[in-house]
Amino acid sequence: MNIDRYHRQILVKELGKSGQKTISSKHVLIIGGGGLGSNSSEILTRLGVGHIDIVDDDPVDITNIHRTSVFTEEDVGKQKCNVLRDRLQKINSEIKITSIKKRIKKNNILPIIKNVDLILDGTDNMQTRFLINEISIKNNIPWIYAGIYSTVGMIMGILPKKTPCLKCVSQNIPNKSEEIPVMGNLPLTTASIQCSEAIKILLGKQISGLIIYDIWKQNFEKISIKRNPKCSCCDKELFEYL
Amino acid sequence: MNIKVKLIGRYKDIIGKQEINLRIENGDTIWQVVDVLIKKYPILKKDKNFLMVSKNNTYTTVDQKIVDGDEIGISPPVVSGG
Repeated sequence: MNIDRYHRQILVKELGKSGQKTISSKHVLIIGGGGLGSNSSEILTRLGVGHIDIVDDDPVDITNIHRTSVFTEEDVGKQKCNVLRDRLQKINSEIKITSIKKRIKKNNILPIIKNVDLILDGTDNMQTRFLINEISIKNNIPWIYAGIYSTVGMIMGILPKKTPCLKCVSQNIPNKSEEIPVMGNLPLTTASIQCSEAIKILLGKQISGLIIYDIWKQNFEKISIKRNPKCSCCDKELFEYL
Repeated sequence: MNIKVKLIGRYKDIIGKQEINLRIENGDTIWQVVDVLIKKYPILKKDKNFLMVSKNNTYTTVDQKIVDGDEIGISPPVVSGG
């Protein structure tokens, strides 16, 4: 690793040289390469996370371009995961980036999460998030939920059996697929917060609970919460999605 | 009995307060609190079945009974876009 490229970053006392070396040894899986996942993968690439896997089976669509700086009009029609791999590898050739052209399902998720240190949520639906939540609890792999709607982003790092899981905070979810409104600059802000939580988890530092940020009203809330002691997922290990 | 309801996220802006005090009956659950809130603030009705609710900082289900002095948190549903 060429530590010089991170010179300004290792001056940050929360990270330092040893933190930089730690994150360069870590393996992060990003599920979804759209607005959130493309931005998160670019941020982690620049930060110097050692190995990043990106899973997505969709091509770049013209409607993706407004909310990410990673894709261009020339990418429309190409596979997101491959475009991301090629572009991010040019940004940082010292790390390993793997593209996985798959849609995450219960019958293919296990080999994909094997050996990863952390999973980042870049998905666009709650069913896949609950699947990630359950596989995370079952295999003791931390993950970071992130979701966006209009001008509001929500982020929550989840350390299995230590902090509340997604099921702890959301007993009921809207069971419908709808076109979500998204202000173009929201995914980058949300991804940036998600990546800060990611670095903290990779370094074994304390994370911040549920974060809600409204980029329009400029409201930022950190909500300290406790695990639901009767949670069907992280306490009783009743897995509905696996 | 009297309880405190803490409003989280956009609900603070919608209602214009960070917390409100409510008087409810003995034996009521969080569900009754949600009903009282919706009667006072009908704009919350569309989220009724998907609200995140907490009791004394622990997220929980709406069927939980409340005792005097409990603090109930009401958050908007988790968002799902990506």
